[in-house]
Amino acid sequence: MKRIAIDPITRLEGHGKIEIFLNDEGNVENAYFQIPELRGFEKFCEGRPAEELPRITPRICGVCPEAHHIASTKALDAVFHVDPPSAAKKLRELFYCAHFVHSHIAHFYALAAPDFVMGPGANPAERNILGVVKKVGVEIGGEVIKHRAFAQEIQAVIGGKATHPVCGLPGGLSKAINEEERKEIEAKAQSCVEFARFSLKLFEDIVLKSKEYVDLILSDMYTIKTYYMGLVDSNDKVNFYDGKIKIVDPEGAETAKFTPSEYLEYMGERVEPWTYLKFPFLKKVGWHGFVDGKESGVYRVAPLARLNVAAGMATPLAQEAYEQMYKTLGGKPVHATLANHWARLVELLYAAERVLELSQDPEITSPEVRTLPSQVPTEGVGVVEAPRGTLFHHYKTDEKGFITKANLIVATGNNHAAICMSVKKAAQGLIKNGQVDQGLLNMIEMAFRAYDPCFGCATHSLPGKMPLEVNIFSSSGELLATLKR
Amino acid sequence: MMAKKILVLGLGNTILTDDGVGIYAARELRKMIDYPNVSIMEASLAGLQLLDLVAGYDTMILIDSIKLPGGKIGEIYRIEAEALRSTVRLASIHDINFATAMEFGRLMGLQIPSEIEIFAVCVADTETFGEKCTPAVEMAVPKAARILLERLREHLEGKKTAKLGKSQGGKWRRS
Repeated sequence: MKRIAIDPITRLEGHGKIEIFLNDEGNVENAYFQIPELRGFEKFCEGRPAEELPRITPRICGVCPEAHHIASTKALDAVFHVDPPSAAKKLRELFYCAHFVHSHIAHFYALAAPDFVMGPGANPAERNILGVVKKVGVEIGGEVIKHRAFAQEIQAVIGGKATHPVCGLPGGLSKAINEEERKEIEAKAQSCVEFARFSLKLFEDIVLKSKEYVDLILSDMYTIKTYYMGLVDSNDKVNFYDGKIKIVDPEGAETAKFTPSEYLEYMGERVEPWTYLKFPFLKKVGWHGFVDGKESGVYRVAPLARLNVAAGMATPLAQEAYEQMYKTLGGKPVHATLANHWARLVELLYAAERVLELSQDPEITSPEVRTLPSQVPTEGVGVVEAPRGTLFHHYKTDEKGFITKANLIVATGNNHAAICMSVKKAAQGLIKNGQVDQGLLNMIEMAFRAYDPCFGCATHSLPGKMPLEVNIFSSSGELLATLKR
Repeated sequence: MMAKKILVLGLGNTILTDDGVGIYAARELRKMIDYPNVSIMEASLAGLQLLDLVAGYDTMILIDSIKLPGGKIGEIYRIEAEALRSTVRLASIHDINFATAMEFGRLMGLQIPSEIEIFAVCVADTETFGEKCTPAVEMAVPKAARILLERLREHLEGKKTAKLGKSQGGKWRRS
């Protein structure tokens, strides 16, 4: 039996793992995608004052602390039965849209672009942001740095700190912004809107003008037909900060729209023997295994899902980009997993436009940013769209406001079953007769990279971030190949 | 000649048991010294976000945790940045790895420290929520701080190479 092994410099425990099992003919029988789980979160939270959670939960994840901060703060509004003033809600949303600008820029330029600019089969040493910048121009790298920094600075004005914000309190925010700060945000937002338009243009030039790439995006290998979930506002448009949770079926028909506190009625969690991480599914459809289609309760979140559930974007330029995307890809819903990259850029434009719009809102400098809680705390759910999908925080407290129960469903958890299926399908399309190589590993990686997943996020012990390991087994269970990066 | 600016950066996560060790060591060091050209910071970040922190320094000393199969828990390793730059090409999930981030910064004309030294404490548990290290790792904190202090003094005196005991040097290897 042939055995291929590409060892990284070291092995980390708890890394992401893909295990692929071949049949007698050497074709893919099964594939499993495993995400390590962090242990003991609920116990860690129990007995702590609820208002500490917006500062603790962002520590779970080094990638999207801002999403946890805002979801946690919204859960506290519900726990303390308090409605923040309008200006506070707008400021939170402005802050949060700036986080999207920052996160989506990083994902597109550092992770998505290398596959398209350098090519999916390019040498890994060149298939990274350095290769992209060398090819498209150093000045574009400068723009990436500049606009990431702008988004961070906008967050810092409102959040106190950019990455681990401290602004969220039950009933509002710790501080308002003044006119000078507003002007600074407005100017930076204007620049971010232009940069988002540029990024869409770049995507058009590099990806959409290439038949090979469009075919790759639309190929069956990268397509699964699932339900979709995302937050929508009262006009049925995409919203990252607030709204109702909407679900559409694989044909695009609405099957549910509910307020976050009702989530347990709609979502179940499946336990599988081979992983500790649960698989959320749609209760009313039921769990029927790792299969797609209307009869399966598997659903997806993240940019493409959000665009699929909504009637459109709430800002004009993003709406144009939204229409162009669906026109090009053949109408709603789009099931092509790689279209997440395009959807992410549509959202980048929306996020930048929304920051600008909110910075020009006459109410945004209002000093009224806090409603003091006056009721006995009980229980609450807070939901936001994290850049990589819907994020749920659910807390229960005793009458003094100490946590008795805490439950989180994170974006990558929502996508867990779908990622497993996407990985399996890509592997099936790529591995023939037991032939595997490094370029193939990247093509399989592309299937899950489109989701922008976040593994047991905060564990970033050296050397850097969590690596991925792919193990390939023969029909008799023998390890044929291990590919690592 | 201007005195060089040095950054000591403790990396990790203080709610995941041993993952906080780099941050605890940096805090310990902060209690020991107060030099005008030395900044001691802590961060729970990686990839591109680190660029924002490190730009503008001449020298950077990182302290983090590391998991090594067969490694002795609590032992402190020195990792050659050069080795990290040339060989670490690990896939990152949302962001790029440290070496790529630094190279990207240089390519963009940012002042990325020309000297980068990395120390790491071999840890046991970074998957369980907890605000306290496991005993062997906790015991390594003052030792790590002393190593950082010694290294910092050598840098300030202009010495190029680190004087390290054999338990700290050259332990970074393929496993």
